[in-house]
Amino acid sequence: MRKGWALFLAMFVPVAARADEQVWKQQVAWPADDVEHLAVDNRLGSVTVRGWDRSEVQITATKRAAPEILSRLRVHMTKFDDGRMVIDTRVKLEAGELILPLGAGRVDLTIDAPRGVRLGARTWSGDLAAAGMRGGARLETEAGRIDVSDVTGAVVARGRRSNQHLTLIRGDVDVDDLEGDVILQQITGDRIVAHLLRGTIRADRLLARTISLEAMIGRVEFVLGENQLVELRARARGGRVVVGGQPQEAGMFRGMVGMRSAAPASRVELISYGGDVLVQLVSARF
Amino acid sequence: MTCAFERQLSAYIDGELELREMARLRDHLDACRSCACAEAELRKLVSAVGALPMEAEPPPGQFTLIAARLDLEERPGLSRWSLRVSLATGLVAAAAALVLVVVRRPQPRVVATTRVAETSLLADARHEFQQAEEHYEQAARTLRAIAERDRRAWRPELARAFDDNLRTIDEAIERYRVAARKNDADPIAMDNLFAAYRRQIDFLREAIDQGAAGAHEMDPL
Repeated sequence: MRKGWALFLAMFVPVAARADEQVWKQQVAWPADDVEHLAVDNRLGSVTVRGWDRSEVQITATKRAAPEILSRLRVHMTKFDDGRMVIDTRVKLEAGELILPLGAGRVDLTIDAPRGVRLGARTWSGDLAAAGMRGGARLETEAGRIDVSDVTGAVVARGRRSNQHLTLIRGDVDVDDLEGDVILQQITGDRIVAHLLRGTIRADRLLARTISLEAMIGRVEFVLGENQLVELRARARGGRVVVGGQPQEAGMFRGMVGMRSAAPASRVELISYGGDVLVQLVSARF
Repeated sequence: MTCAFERQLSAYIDGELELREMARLRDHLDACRSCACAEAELRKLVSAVGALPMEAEPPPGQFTLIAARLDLEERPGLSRWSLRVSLATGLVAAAAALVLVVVRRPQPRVVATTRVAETSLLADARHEFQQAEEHYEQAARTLRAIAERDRRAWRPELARAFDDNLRTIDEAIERYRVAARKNDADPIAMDNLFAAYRRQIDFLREAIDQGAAGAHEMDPL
């Protein structure tokens, strides 16, 4: 149920721009005591969400476009009774305002939000970044870059043609991309899953009961930390499986790898169909 | 001399400005002779457009073509204002010629540029959707090729289930594609189509994984 008010960010402040475009910028803050879920949909540019300790949501919107298009780019914020706050950008047309991707205009959003909210954010070709959140995040982009750091809670990241970098996550991770590189660093959770059609997955310092990384046409690089023991299953159909510098026969490896430790062994599955699977055993590197 | 307010006149006359901007511009018109003249000219152009017969609409694609021209650099010696007026003049002349209606003066600018911008924006969004769709299709083709190559080693029941499920997914994609074509540049229709492509890609990937795991006597995690 809509709470009965929506924000339309129309009064912007002009700032310096290229000769053929205007840039308008505005910052607005709204109370967010009862906001549990923040949903951002911006197909017109980038989204950066930063968690902070204040109980308000602050939106900084920057619009860039030729003058005749600029007035058509709109930013809306709507708060619902069920704890949702929705921020989206639209293009004003005769038929109404539509959520559309455009090459001719751009809206970049920087949002400061209470750390505890559950975040859902989506872009088209704009970059997507989230940092300092404590309620998990679901991030989707068609062709932007995804950057997630210092997040507690489950993280789901979906891309079509994007590079993804997830670091310092405390929670389950589920990453999916068609094309690009995926970097996973310092993640502690129960289950870490990454699927990539074309590109490289690099994983470093992952601690989870189950880890499954698959690059169909690409390479998987997995760095095993000190005092980490894993039950490893690795397959590379068109390439090599190399564990600790040793190439494995038939592009396959199955066995325990690492050093005995008090922590239970992780089950790690690494798969590539058209590239190599490399497992590095690095001791005393932290 | 070109006044900074000139570029807002079109939106002002169309009633597209916010109230505060309207008031600001109205005050400015009282003080700026150049803008006041331009506004009067613009209003004449708008009423002239209103008098044009409906059949004077250019053929499909014409607006996009002119929009592309509008995006070109300004011609030397022409201000943005005069460039727009001259392009709009060309547009109206072409439109009028289609129905053999002679309009001597003045030529419309406001309605033409509004429609040009709208057509151009929709074409822009359509282009983005098209590129995304091509990329999903390409990814699905790649996975289909891998699955086709692998299926010789699959268990027969897996191969049968694969065929049945893939057929169902293909049919769903076709339905979404038809809907997306009907609602050109509709973001919801495109979202549905892309979600269907993603389901297809996930399915193909899972089938390949299961087939490979079976061939190697390994259960997927």
